[in-house]
Amino acid sequence: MRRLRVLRESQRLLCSTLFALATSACGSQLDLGSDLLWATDHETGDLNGWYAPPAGGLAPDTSMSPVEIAAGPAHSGRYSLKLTDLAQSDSIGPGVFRELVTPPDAYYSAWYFIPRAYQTRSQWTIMKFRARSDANPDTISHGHDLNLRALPGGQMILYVYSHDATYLQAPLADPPAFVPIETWFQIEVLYRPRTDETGKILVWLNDRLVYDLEQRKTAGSDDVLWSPCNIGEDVQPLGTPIDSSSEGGAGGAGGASGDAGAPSTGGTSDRIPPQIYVDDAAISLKRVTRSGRLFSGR
Amino acid sequence: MQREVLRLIPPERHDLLRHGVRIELEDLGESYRVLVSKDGASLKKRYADPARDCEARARFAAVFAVLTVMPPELGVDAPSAQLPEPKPLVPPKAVVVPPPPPPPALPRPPLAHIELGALFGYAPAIVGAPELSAFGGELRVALGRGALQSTLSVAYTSRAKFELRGVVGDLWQLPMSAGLRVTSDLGGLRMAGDLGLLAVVQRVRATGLASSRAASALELGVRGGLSFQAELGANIAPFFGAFVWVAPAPRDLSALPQGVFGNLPYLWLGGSAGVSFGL
Repeated sequence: MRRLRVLRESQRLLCSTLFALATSACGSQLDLGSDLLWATDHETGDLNGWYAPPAGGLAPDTSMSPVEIAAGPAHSGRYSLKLTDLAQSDSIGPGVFRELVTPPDAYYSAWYFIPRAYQTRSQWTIMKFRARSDANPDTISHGHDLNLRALPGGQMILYVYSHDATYLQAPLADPPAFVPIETWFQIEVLYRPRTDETGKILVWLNDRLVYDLEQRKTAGSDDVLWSPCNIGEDVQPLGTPIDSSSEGGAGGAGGASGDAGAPSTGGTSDRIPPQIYVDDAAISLKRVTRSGRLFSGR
Repeated sequence: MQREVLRLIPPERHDLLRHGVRIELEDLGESYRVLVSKDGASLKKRYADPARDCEARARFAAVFAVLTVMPPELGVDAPSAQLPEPKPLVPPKAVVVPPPPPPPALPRPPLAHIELGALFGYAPAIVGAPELSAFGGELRVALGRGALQSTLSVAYTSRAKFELRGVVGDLWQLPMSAGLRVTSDLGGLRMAGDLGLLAVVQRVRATGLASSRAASALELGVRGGLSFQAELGANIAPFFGAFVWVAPAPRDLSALPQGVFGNLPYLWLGGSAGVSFGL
């Protein structure tokens, strides 16, 4: 009888201990690691994420357009990256980049926010894939761009442009890849850099595969410079008249008004510099998707 | 039967049977009745004999008849028997009949059984759990001599590989249990049913991510089992059985950038076999 009582007491003690151990860990997930090669959500309040090793930072921009951390709007947390295009050129503008040497096939993802509707008369590049020349590391060749273009009705569509004369602009997605205004949207690209025709570019817009470009030369070297950017020559707020004299140059356009927060554009002071916000950027070996997480516990 | 009766009575007493002794044996199918009559008195007895062994019936009837005609307490000097004048007899030798030996004491069953066995477990892919299979070993101690015993066990399972939503990994387990066992004899086997609390220390690791980590967790649940033992020697019995481990709230598994991609198993089914040593 006494032995039975001791046995029962022992079992009760064991049960209590195990229950306490189990409940203390309840709710916690088992984090098994990451397929992210790099990511930033700008919540440090600075650009350090873009400068993290092995290589990255501000994209070369002779126009000195502002690249800054903004306290809102943000896709997650409080901060995002704000790119304001003062250059209004089709080749230079604000941007950031990450450089990978001989990377595997990877997914390049970023969330974008366009604060207002714009009209465009040329391409508006918001993401670039470039490559550093093997022969001359100071030379960076253009590869593939992801551009926006406004439709007459004010809608904005996403398309892919290759600087290789063999390919140039890819056929538009059908149905069109409309990007929303004043709403965060995600662009994710599977990029297989190849100097021969085994390269591949797949583009998802808000988890919808909109471009599937395979069997093409995608890079000039084994390097990949991935750059979210804001480069466009004739990008003006919707409703703003665009002066035809501005075509082909950086001449002024009259009649711009409204964006009180826009910085001065110097020689193109009549223009309202287009702005875009970028947040939650990542390079991953697996698809990030709209629901993906970039940091544990956030 | 007559032969058997005569064989049981010394020849010099055969004349006892000549004084109105009648012995009858009546067949009643799966039983029979023996009737012994002497001097108008009779005594009958009925015996069961489903085997209908005539020889055995004759022997039983003869013994019954002789004991009736010549009860030991009366012997051949029973007054009812018309015996010749008694001869002076030599006093019988005293016969000392030793008391029957006490029945041999039944050996007490062992207080503890230590069971050492090998096990195989299979976890089906349920909801977000991966499909897993593993081999291992288990040590179990059952305490108690009666039908109700308490058990304690610890086991170890080998690394079980899994693939879940593109994440490849593996899992080790150290299941421990404490519970009760009910035993019952089933023919030549002893059947044991176990039910107890289960605590499983699990270590899970991803192996195919850009940066992989291992994580450990303690899961609580219930263990049930059914085993069969066959006694080979005094305290050695091989056993085999089946078990089920249930963890109703397994821990989630996560990785970046997928987030939560699944969870640890809800259910393990398995079998075990080994040897039980009684102490």
